[in-house]
Parts: sequence; structure tokens; C-alpha cells
Amino acid sequence: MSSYFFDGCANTNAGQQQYSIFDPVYNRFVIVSDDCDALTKTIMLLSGKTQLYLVTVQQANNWDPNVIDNHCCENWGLSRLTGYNLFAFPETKKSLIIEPVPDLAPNTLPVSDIEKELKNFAFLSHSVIQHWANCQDWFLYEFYDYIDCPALLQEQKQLERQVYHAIYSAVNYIQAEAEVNALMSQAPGRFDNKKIWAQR
Amino acid sequence: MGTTVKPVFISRKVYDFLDSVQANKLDLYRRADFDFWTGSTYVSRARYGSQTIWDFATTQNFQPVLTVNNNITFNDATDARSLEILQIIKQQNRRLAIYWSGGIDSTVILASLIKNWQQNDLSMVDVVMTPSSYYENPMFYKKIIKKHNFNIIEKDDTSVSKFHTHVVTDGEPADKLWLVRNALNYATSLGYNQLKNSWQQEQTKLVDFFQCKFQTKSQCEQYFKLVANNILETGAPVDTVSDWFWWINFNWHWEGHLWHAYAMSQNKTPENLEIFKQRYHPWYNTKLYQQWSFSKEGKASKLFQSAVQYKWPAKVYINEVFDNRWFMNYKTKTGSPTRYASKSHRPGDIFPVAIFQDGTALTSDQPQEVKKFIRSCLLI
Repeated sequence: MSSYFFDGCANTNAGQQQYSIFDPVYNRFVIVSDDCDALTKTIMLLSGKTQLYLVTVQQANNWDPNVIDNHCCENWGLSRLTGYNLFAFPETKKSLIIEPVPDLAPNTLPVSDIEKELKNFAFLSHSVIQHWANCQDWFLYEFYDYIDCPALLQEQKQLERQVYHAIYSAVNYIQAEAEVNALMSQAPGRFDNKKIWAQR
Repeated sequence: MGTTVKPVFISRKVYDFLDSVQANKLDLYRRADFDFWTGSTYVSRARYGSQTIWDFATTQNFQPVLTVNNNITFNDATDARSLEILQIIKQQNRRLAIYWSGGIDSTVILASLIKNWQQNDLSMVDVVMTPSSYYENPMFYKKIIKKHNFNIIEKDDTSVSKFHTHVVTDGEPADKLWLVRNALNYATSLGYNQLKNSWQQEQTKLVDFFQCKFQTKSQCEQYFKLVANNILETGAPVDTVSDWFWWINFNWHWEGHLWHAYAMSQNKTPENLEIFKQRYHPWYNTKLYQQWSFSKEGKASKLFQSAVQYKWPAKVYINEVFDNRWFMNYKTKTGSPTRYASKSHRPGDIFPVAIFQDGTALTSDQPQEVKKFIRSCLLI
């Protein structure tokens, strides 16, 4: 199991939704999470390997809170893939979303090694994205994407880009993880990435 | 434009200039050629068969006899093409510009040159690419293009075609050798094993499938009949549903894709057309590739069992140069971003409505001329 594993269940009583990354080539869910933003960014980080899509699994008619989590999501796919433009360049964020959501359907085919590696990449990406989102005030962090930011933050943002690029262009998961951890151990300015990353 | 000069290529934008009576008459063909076959934003000549939709000029292009009697492999055709292109750049004493989209077809070109050319010949290559090329294939860029130190020319949507300075090649008209998006959608919807069924026995399913594009069932049936009659008339090597999808591409869209680069170039004059013909060598426009597409290997490669096997012989060829499990196991059709394709026109853009055999073009800023052209040249 990946050291970045999380179960991906959503607390629907608290108004959370369960989302998933979907792989149309093998008709499987890669990971599930309640963090739509992190999944969307994960799709982007993995786009050098394959084109993935976002599904709000909770919208499927046969969804049940107990049916799907990250222990078993690869055993599920979609009952229907027609009517979606799954073989086109994603020009907008919306084009990454599969909706309306068809029923969920079991996928009983064996999971190949490359699919397992993709799942590991997805866990790593999701953790890294949440790390950057959580370790500082999100508003300022997003705000400084649009406006020139102070030198202190520039250094941090540069590091973030390097980490993302390491995942995006990596061929091999073990090498990618080692590169990410090496980068995360750097601590520019007041941000102690090493400590925060180690505490995740 | 002389009055006797026939068009070779008509953009879908011609419909902006048709009145409603004319548009209604052409609706089936518009749907068939423009809307149904994604990526075909224009019509051109059907290569085989007597049916004419438009009065197109005949261009001089090799058309193989449609007999399945060869054992050509994709590797043979590709290795042979790399040597032909090397000869062309040496004869013309020019650098080679490769338009690399990052997709399978144009990556085959680079893989083939790396496999078959000497290092000093590779130094004659410029790779023309966009940011989306990198997006589509970052690993090949990082591990192969950078490693071989190819000169990179970044193309944006305003850049002028390189055929004034270079010999130019690109991944055209590769899709016409294979199955593309509509066949993938058909297989995704009904199951990949359906591709091997007899097209004649699957009439009902094919007609039903067309309903996602055509307006009425009658149009779907008419379209099926149009293609079926052409297959029977020409004796095309079409047995399966897979062959059926291939044939539409191979017969109706081959010519149009050869004009695509010229349509996007500036200054369409007879002189520039001559330069273009001399310098532009679309990689897959060869006798061997065409024969391969209905060879034993070519036909078998289109009967894939899952999206993973999409353009499989081409992926295997690339893998000889760059062992990339992601590309082999995941790469399918991505398509080009519309901002880099001719179908994307911003308001106010001037675009070619038609291109003629003498290289001149009728453009969208000449509405009266376009209307005159519609009245005099189109078979309506």
C-alpha cells in the first residue's frame, strides 16, 4: 500500500461529496477523495502519462457511502462510456469532468502493474497538492499566483513547481518519489517543508 | 481565380454563405463530411467511386489498386520513408522541419529518423512544436528530443509555415490509415469485439450509431447506403465494421488532409503552391503506407480489443527508440487543441473558404465572390 494512502471516504453528513479520478482506457477509478480541487490538479500532474477524468461518483444512481473507497475503487468503473468526448484535447476544466454520471459498474479484470503504479502516482500527487494547500494561508497563496509575490514566497512557489514537474515528467514512480522527497527536504525562507511534509 | 479552375478543398465555413434552400439540399453531406467525421473541417475529392458530391479537381496522387495481396509491415513502410526524406533534403540542400504534435503519428517520424539516420544527418532537423506538444508527450521531449539536441522552433498560431525555408514534414495523413475517434466511440459504446463483425450484418447497429450525429433516421440510412454503394462499386477491401470506418477515412478524407497545411499557410498564389508542392512531404503520403493500410498487418491492427491497442504497430515502432510503458499502455487519440487547428477561427479572422487547383484561394472577406462560386461551381 502507498505510504500516501488515505481512504477517500466523504463525510456526507457534513456536506462533503465524494469525487474520483477515472481512467477511461481501462474503465476504472484510480482514487477517490472529497477534495475536488486536489483531484483536478492530480489529473493535470498525471496528464503526461495518460488522460484522466473527474467524476462526482456520488451522483451515480447506484452510489452508496459504503460501496467505494481507496481500498477497492479500482474494482469499479462506469456502466456506460458513450456520449462523452473521451478522446479529445482537454481545452477547459469542464472538459475533464464526466457528467451526467452513469451508474457504477464492477470491473473484474485483473489490475495490471502499470495501473498500480498510476495509483501510486495519484496518491503521491494528491498528498503533495494538499501539502501546499494546507501549509500556508490559502488566500494569500492563491492571490500571489496572480500578483507578483514577495521574494520569500517566490522561492517557495519555485520549489512547488519543481515538485510538480518531478511528478509530471517522471517515468518511474520510485524515482519520482525520491525526487519529491529530496525537494521537500529543502526549506526556503520561513517555510519548513521538511517538517510539515514529514508530519503529514 | 479563373472560371474553369476547380476547387480541391472546401472549408465547412462555406455553409455560412449558403441560403437555407441550398443548405437543406446539402444537409446530409454537410453532416457526413463536416460534422460526423471529427477533424474534417473541409471536404475534398473522394478517391474511388463515381459519386461526386462537389465538382472537385483531380490531384495527382498515388492511388493503389485495392487488392489485399501484400505482406508490407508498418516498420518497412516507416524505415523506407525515412530514407526517402533524407534523399529529399539532400537533393534540395535544405533543413528538415518536422511539425511535432507529441502524438503517435509525428512521434513515429522522430523515432524513425533516430533509428535510420546518422548523427550528422540528424543535425539537419528542426522540430517545430507548441506548448501542447510538450503537454501531450513530456517524456519523449525530455528523454529523446533534448537528448539528441534537436533544434526547437516554437510554433504559435500566427507563425508562418516553414516551407519557404525548409523541407517540411508532419503526421499527415496518418489518421486516414487507421481508425479514429468515431470508431473508438463505436467500440467504446458497443464493445471492441464488434469491430470484427461483418459490416453488412451490422447495418442496424451502424445506422443506430449515426443517430448521434445525423438529425433523422432516414439520413442515417441514406448515409449508410451511400457508403455501402461505394464499397460495392469500387470493390474496396472492406469486410468488417473496422474496415468500414477505415474506408471512409481512406477514400473521402485523404486528399483533404494533404491540403490542410497549405490551407493554413499565408499568400496562396500559384507560385507559392509550386514551392509548397516541392517542399511539403507529408510523412504518411506514400505508396507503401497506403498499401500497408489494407495489408494483412494493417487490417489486423485495426481489430483491436481495447483502446490500449490503438495504433499499436506505431507505438511498438516508437518503443524501439524510447521504452516508455506509459505511452505503450495508455496512449490513445488526444486530438489537437482547436487554437492550433484550422477549425478555430476567431471573429473577424479571414480564412480560406475554398482552395483551387492553381493554388489561389477564395477567402471569407469576399462574400459576393463566395456566393458566385456557390452558384457556379457547386453541384447543388
